[in-house]
Amino acid sequence: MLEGRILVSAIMVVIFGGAVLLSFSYAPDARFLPLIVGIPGLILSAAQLVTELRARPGIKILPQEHRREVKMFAWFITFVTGLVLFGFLYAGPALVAAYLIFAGRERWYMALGAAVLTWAILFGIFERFLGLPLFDGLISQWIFG
Amino acid sequence: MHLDVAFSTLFHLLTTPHLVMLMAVAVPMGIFFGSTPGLGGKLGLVLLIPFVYNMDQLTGAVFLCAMHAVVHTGGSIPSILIGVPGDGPAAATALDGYAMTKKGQAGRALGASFGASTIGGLLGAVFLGLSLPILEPVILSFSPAEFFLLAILGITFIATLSGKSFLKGMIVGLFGLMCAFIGLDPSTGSPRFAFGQLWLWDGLSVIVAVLAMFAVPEMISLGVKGRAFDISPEAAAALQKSGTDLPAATGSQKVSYAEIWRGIWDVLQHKWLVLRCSLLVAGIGIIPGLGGDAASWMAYGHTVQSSKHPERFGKGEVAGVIGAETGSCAKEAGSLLPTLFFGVPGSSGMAIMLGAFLMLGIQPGPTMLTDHIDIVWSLIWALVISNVICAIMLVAAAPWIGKLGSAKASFLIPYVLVFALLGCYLFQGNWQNLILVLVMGSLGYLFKRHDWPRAPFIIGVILGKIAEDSLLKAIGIWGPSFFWRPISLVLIGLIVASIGFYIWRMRKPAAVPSHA
Repeated sequence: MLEGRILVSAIMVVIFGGAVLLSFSYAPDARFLPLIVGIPGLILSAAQLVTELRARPGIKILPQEHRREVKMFAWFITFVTGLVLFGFLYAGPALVAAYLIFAGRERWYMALGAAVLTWAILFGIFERFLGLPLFDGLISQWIFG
Repeated sequence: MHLDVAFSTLFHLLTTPHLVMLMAVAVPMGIFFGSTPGLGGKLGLVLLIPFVYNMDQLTGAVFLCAMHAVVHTGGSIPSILIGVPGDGPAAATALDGYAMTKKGQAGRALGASFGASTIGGLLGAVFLGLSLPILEPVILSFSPAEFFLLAILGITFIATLSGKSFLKGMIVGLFGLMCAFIGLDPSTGSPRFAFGQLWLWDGLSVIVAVLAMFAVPEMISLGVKGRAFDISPEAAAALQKSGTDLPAATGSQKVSYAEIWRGIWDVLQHKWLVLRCSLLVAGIGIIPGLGGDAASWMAYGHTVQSSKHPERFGKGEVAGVIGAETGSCAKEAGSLLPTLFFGVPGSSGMAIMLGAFLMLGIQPGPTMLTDHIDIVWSLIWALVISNVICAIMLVAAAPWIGKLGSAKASFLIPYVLVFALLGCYLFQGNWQNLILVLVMGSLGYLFKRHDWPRAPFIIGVILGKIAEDSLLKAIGIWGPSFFWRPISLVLIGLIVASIGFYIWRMRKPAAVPSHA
């Protein structure tokens, strides 16, 4: 399996490589600075990748740590997806409660209290007091119009 | 000297109830974030950003500045009580502070820490205020040519001081610059790196970059560790380098008022040390990158070198706590200077602060001296007042302070994620920013996981626009010969020197810890 440190360097090479290639499609004035920054970036990240490939294998992470990383990424994706689909007022409190029950192993009434607090902050402080309109969510907008 | 502005802003701050109230709210928040290892002041700033959206420039800036000013004071609490420093600077305090706790002098160490950090913060602010009239003509003489080179210098400084690998620092800094080019090109008006997405025409928001690179990776990392009480890698490295054993156990400590006052008395007895460390570190704080973690270690180093009994340090010497804490807090004022007047953040915390300033509509640069001197002085006074409020609160809460820093990670993670994502949405009102955070936050975690510094990315994003605008103006005015202007040559010399310093440091094992 590809080591993480090599993966990061490879990602940087791909990003800079792609940016340099894209820059050539812009007008000369528009591509001037992206090329000045992108070409050294590509060279440096390629050098870093070579260094990582030649280096000794790093310390392997423990399987349980890897599992926890995967779980946390799954939660992060769930938070973003939930907020995009159902908005802050609906998904925010639900996600906080769900995280506390399933990941934090907290008691249900603690999770419920935290969810109510989240809703109170989002609705009370942001929507009412500060007058900031919160995102309703793509599905919520579709259902409620 | 702007004496009239200096005193009118102080009067305004002290007589405006909502500003006083906001500072009184910001200070305990700063103490909380600072005293909880795994959170820290940068995350505190990030989390507060959504709350300042609707505030006016002055109120928002004072609120954030007040919180940021006391983070290091809060950071000394777990360092002293349980030997768990939350970051690099706090590790310097842990050397003698934790040793004092083990000797039964926790209260004295805390008192010394509170006293030293308060006086250090005050002297740093005084240094900044007094240096303004001296620096004003220098700052105003800077042209677009110098601002372009300053942007490059800022990234170079941060990259050289941001960890073991200059290469990684430079790559991340250049990546940040590249991301700053997303949006409409200022010279042709055509979109760059927008991939046909209209919402990207406005460019990458600094706030999105900050939240994605700091809040998300920290929360994922906290979730993976499962505890807020884990020692940070930088702090662990710093302690191991100094030969100190890593702490094994945690627990609450009892602290009495008498012990606290004894520690404060120790600070007064070491008044010249406090003065020397404050001035030294406030001056160092001006240099981008050095104003970060290295400052407290330099102050600690000076304390050991100037002591008649250097053999006592690391074994519970109160002067060690005083020196390190004075350094931690005095540097904030120094690092505010390049942040406000050049748009070059003095530290990674200041990089986040700069992003928040831009969001509030405060445009750093020489015009801060001419058009917004009231904001500059308000921030200086905010540093002073928040340090005083912090000292009062901490001394009053001394008997209960042992319980600080025991926040449960499971409660912090969902709140931080929801409010960080809210901050990303609120800035431009684009839900697509949430998807951007998903991508960039994942990359940010990979950076954190594999020891890639993240601060140069933020600085690159901030400085990218400044660099491009300044370069276009400089070439328009002088052509390519702008490099030969005297101040430009000095800045080019500094860029070369900073790279040379890095190479020298890599050849010789340094005492200065890294700073991400």
